[in-house]
Amino acid sequence: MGVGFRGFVANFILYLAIFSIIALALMLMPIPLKPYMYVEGLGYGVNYYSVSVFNQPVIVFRGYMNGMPVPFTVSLFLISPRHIYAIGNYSGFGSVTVGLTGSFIKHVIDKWLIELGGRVNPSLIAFITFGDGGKTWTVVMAIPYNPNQVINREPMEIVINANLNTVKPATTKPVSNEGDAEYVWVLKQQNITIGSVPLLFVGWSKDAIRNIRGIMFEGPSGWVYKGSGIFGILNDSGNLVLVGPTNTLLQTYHYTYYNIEMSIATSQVCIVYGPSLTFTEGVCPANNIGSPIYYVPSSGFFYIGLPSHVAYVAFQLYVINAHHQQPTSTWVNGTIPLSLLSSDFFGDNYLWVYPYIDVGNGSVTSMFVGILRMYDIRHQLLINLDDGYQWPGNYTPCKNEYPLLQRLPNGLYFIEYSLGVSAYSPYSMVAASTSLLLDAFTPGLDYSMSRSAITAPSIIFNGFYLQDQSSMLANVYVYFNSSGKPFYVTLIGGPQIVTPSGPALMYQTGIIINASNYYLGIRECRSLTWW
Amino acid sequence: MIKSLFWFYVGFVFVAFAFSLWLLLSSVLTITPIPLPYWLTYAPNNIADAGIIVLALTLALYTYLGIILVLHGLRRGLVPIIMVALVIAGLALLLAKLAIQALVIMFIAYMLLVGTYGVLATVALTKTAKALWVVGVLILVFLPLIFLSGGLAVINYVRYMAFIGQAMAIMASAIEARALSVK
Repeated sequence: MGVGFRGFVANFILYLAIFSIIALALMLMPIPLKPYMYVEGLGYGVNYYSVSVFNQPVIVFRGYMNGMPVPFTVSLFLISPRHIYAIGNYSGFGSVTVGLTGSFIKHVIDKWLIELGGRVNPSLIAFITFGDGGKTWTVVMAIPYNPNQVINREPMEIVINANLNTVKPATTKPVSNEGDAEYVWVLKQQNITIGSVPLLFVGWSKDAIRNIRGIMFEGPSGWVYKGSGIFGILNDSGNLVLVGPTNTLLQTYHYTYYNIEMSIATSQVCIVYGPSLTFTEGVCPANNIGSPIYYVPSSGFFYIGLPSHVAYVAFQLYVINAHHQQPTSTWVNGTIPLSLLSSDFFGDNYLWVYPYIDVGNGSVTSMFVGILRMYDIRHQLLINLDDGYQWPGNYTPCKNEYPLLQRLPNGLYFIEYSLGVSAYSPYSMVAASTSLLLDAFTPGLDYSMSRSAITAPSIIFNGFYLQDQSSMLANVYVYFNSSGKPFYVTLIGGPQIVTPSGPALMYQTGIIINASNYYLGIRECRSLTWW
Repeated sequence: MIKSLFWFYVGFVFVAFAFSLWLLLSSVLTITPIPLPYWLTYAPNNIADAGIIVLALTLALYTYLGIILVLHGLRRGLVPIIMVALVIAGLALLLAKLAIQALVIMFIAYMLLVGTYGVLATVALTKTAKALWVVGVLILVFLPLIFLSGGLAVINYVRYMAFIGQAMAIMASAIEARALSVK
C-alpha cells in the first residue's frame, strides 16, 4: 500500500466530504423532502409530504414482505360523512401511485367541507394485499388526509409503507401445481362495511307471528377465551372454506376469557305481533313477564350479534407461467370479519353482544337471501335444517325430537329451544350471516371487472368462528294458545364448513317459525349435534 | 506524524458520506413511484436504525483513534477511549431505564467528546484542520448552552450549528487525510 494509493483515497475522500456536507445542508433546508407528519398503524406507516413529484395530491403505496418490495394490490375506499365509496382497485410491483384528483373523489371529499367546513380530517381506507401460493396477506389501513389539500389540488404526497409480513396470512386455497404452472389467488374486489355478525337468531313469517302469542328470547350467556380468533368464510364453488383467523380477541392481562354480556340491562327480549315496528319496555303479552318488547308487524328476525368491520372479498385464481401471470375463470368470494369494535370490550373481561331486529334489511335476511339463491341455482342447501316442531302435531316425530311442549294455566303452551355452541378448536360459534349479491360489490368498478364477477359464485357467508374454547347459550320460548292456528318451527344449523382440522361440528344457531309449512317446505330429520 | 490516523480520517468521512447519501437518496426516492427496498425508504424506524449504525461505526472509529494514539505513546488517546466506554455505559443505563444516571454519564461523555475534538486538534498536521477542530470544540461547548437557554424556540439555530460543527469535522478529516497521504 503505497503513498500513491493513499493519495488516491485521500482525493476521493475529499469529494465524499464535499458531497456529505452538501447533502447534509440540503436536508437542513426548509425544502420539505422530509415528511411533516407521520402516522402509524398495525403493519403500516403513513408519511405526509408537502411536495409531490407529480405536482398534485397523490398517494404512493409501498408494499413489503420482509423488507423487500413485492407485487400487491390496493383497494381504496373513500368515506363521506355517511357512506363508503370504492375508488378503485390497483396493482403494482413494489409501489402503486393513486392520484387524488378525480372528479368523483373531489365530489365525495367536498361533502366533508360542505358539512363540517374542514374541521375534520377524514380517512381513506385501503386494503393492501399480497398473495403468494394459497396465502394472502392483507394490511388494512386508515389514511387520514386534509380535505382542503385535495380539493385545492395542492401538491402533496402521502407515502405509505405496508409491511405485509406483520399480519397473519389468510389461506384461501392450497396451491395447485401442474407442471411448471403455479396458481395464486389474487384479491380482486373488496367492500368494507360496519355490520353486525349474527351469533344466534330467531325468525318468523308474518302469519306465524300473528298465529302465536309471542316469542321470548333469553340470554345469551357464555364466555369466550382470549386469543380466540374470528374466521371468515369463502365460498369456493359451493364449498365453504374457513379463512383466518383474520383477527384475534385481545389477549390482555388478568382474565383468560371474556364473559359474554348482552348490552341491555335485562337478558331477555320479547317479540310479539303489533301494527307497527316498535320497541318499548313493559309486560310481555306472551307470558306476562316484564321485559323489553319488540312489536313487529311482519316477517323478520331477531338476533344477537357483534358489531364488526366486515370486508366482502373476491379472489380470482391466476396461473403463473414463467414470469407471466394470467387470470383464470375461477373465483372465490366471501366475507372476512376485520375487527370487532374495541368499545365492545370492557372491564378487561366482558364482551358486549347486541340485540338486533332485522325486518328485511339486516345481516340475517341477507344471509337467507344468499342461501335461497344458492338453493335455487345449484340445488345446494348450505345450512342444516331440522324440523323442530309442528302445531297441531299430527306427524311422525323424528328420532331426535326436541323440544318438549310445556303447558301453562289458561290454555297457554310454550316450547323451549336452546341455541348455542360449545365445542373445541376450531368450531362454529355460529356459522351464519350475510350473503353477497352482485350489487353489493364495490360500485364504480370498471366494466370488465364487474363482468368477471358474474362468473363468481354469487353467495357468500360470513362465518364467525372462534378458535380454542368458548361457550354460548340462549333460550327461545315460543308461546301459543292451544286453540291457536298452526305453525311450524325449523331449527337452523350452521352451514357445513371445511376447517383446517376437518369438518366443523354443527349446532343449531337459530330457529324459523313458519305458518304454512316447515321452512323451505323441507321436512328433514337431519341430526344436528346436540349437547 | 502518525500514519495510521489516515484510516481514522477516511473512516470518519466515509461514515458521514454513507449516512448523508442514505438520507438524501431515501428522502428523494421515497416520494417517487419507484419501487424501493424497505431500508431505502425514509421511515422513522429506518432513520433510527441508520442512527444506531452511524453511532456504532463512529464509536468504533473513536476507539481506533484512541488505541492508535496510545500505541504511539500519546496518553491523550485515552480521552476518546473513555468517551466510547461512557457512551456504551450510558446506553446500557438507558436500556435499564435508569434515566438520571444515564443522563449524568452521557453528560460526561459529551465533555469527553469535546476533549476528543481537542485531541484531534493537537494531532492535526495542517493549520486549517487545527482551526476547524478548534471551531468544532467551540460549537460543541456552546451548543448545549444555547439549547438550554433558548429551548425549542432556537431549535433551528441549534440544528444549523450542529450541521456546521459536523461539516467542519468532515472537512478537517478530509484535509488531514490528504496531508497524511502526501507526507
